[in-house]
Amino acid sequence: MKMWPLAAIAVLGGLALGISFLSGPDPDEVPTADEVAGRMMSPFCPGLTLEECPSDQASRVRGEIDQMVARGATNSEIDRWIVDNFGEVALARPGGSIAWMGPPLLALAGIGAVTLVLRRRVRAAPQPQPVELSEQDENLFQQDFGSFRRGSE
Amino acid sequence: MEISAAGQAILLAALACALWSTISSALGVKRNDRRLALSGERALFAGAFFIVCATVLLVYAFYSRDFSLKYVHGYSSRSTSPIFTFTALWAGMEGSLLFWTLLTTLYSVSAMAVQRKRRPDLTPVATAVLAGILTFFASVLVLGANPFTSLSPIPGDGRGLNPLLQSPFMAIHPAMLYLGLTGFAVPFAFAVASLVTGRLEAGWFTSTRRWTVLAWSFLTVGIILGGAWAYMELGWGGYWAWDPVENASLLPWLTGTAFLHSVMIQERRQMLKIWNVALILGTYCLAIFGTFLTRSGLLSSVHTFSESPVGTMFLPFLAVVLVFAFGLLGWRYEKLRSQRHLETMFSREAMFLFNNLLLVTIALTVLWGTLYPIMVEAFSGAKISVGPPFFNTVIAPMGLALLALTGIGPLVAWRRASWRSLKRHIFLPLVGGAATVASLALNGVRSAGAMFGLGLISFVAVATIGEFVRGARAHRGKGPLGYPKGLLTVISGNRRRYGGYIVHLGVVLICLGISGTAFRESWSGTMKPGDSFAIGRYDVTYARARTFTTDEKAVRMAVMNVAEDGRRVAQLTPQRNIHLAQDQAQSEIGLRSSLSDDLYLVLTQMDSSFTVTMRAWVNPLVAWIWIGGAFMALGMLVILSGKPPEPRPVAAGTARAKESVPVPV
Repeated sequence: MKMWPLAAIAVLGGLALGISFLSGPDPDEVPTADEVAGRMMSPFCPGLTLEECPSDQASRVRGEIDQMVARGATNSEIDRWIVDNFGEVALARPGGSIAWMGPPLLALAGIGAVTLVLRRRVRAAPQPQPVELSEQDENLFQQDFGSFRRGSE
Repeated sequence: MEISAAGQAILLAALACALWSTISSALGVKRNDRRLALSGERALFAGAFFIVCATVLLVYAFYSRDFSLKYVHGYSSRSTSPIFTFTALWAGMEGSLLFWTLLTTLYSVSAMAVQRKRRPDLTPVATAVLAGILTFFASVLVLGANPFTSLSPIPGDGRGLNPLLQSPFMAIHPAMLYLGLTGFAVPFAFAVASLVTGRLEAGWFTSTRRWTVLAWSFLTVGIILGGAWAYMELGWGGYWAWDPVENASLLPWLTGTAFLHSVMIQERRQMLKIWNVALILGTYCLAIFGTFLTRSGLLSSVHTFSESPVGTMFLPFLAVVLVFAFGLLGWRYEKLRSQRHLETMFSREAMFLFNNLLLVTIALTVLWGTLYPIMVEAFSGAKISVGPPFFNTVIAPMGLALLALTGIGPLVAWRRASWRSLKRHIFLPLVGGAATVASLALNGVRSAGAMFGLGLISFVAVATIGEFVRGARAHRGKGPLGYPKGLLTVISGNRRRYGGYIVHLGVVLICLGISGTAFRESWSGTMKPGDSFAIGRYDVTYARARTFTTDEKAVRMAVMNVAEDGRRVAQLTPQRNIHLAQDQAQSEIGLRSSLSDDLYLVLTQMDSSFTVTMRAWVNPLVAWIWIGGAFMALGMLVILSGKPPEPRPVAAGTARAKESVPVPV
């Protein structure tokens, strides 16, 4: 089986994913309040997003986000408001290319390594060679094969 | 004698036994001295006895309300119910480490008892490794997290158990998780023993296969129960938050899953020996890493214990385990190299390889995302977060590819598959997938992601069920019960294979449950009695409020009537309670669960005029996650109910390895 289509799909897929991750949400678009709450870590519930945090304070922050969205605030404006008020730690989507490109690069490196190893091994694998039978062996084989066929019929 | 002094003495005795067991077993191997090896085994049993005694003593202290112990005071009170008094054992750092040590020692002595006759060549080294692990944990208990630390003056009552931990799920979930994580110590020890002794043939993992499956099964059930606990108790409408501690439990599960698949290639084709050893070594290292992560105070999570010196004790231990294990692997690298080769990329072996690649890449991605904030802070000082948007975006494509392989893999033959055979077997699953996509499109679903995901789930479900049908057909008898009898025959005849397929069906059902997230609906707002809102197919009315106080908590309850098409179908009572002993607020959810969706209500606030702030979700298909978990557990039981592998003949009475090797102590 040719490996290049798989490798090409993996490379293109990885690049497409990487680019889409890096670009993130459109900075000029007005998001929904749920989208914002889903990408903001709650300052009040360790490890949970604002959308998930059940505390009263989180409810109030969600209320403020609702008002901003109703006023037509864009993604970039809301993200700036989050960073100004709660710090960069409140953004659940990490900025910077290294965070996002790490996993696709890991996957590509893994696929590449496995592909190389497998191709080498498949090539190195001993292929069955046709065996030349002597006339005597050929006759014996035909006799046995004939009796086997008759037996199976 | 004071309970604190007695407990400390017992822990010291356990530490002494573990230390002697490590040294004696290692010397026994090195000098080929059976008496020393036997002494090491007995010391391990003695150490286990003392750890059991320490645990019994701590449980006794809990039930006798002995608040002279700081740990008992911190995690129980006179009003704590009997069942939660018991589970308080693992509610805090010190007790959870004692519980972890208890499970490790119980696994160790059970493995020794079974394996000393089956694998006398590997058991002495494995004993040294397991005793080394016990020595570390006993040292942590004595020096860093002693559950028998005394408190003076003795308080009249304890602080009680965190209300979030007072849940039936929380009673079982940590125990299951710990049973899983600690269980990997046994295959780890035998893998190390095979490297040390140079007995690198398949025997080491066939001897410990059942231990590996057992540990993996407990870990699986533990993770699913953890999701159920989060869903029922935390009141955020979800079951998985990519929290660092959740991730820490997922990491060894992923590599353990990869191992259980790739080990079949070694059994069938004697290939991937290095990879398999590396996977099981890595799995135990990740289990230790998770324990370090939750106790180091490095990460912020609802699950983490408070910062303590324990974290700094774990880091050198983890480093030693990693260097020792992978150093041995490097040392034996040449001997482990496979003599066989993959014949074609179109074979079951290749499918398993890609399955392994995906599982390990997912594990590395989860590890990357979990550690990235720590790395950034270490290098730049900036505090950042890596949350669900990152994990969902990056893991989802790999998860879908893995799911596809779950369906395709069993259809592809070992060694060299034929397109003709694959075409014959893949046709129906493809029809199933296409029919699902068509039916979704006809019902107005326009999300390409949801259609692809659900189509893939159908494809894998049909492919997996097809395996059962083919097996049943081949073994069917005559009469109307021919197929069911054939099914039972084929399952009981090859429990490992068909148990595995039942686990796959469980995975498919869990994926179905997760796919419901795409259709999730939410609502939030304030309500006065008599107000209503509509969500999904439900109309929810706030009928009235109820407030009352019990010995434990002040309860504020909203009585919510749920109607569907104008007909009342349920009355839910979400609560916002103040737990008096801890002065801690906690929400109790209102839940109406069905196979098609869950209506999930959370009361976040109620003021003096009974105006409430309410959050509501309709979570489609969530029930299938728990059903899928039950299927996975059933599949594991089927696998474990099979006959244990036959022990390979080994010259008894020798602790000496085939070749003389130094034993690192």
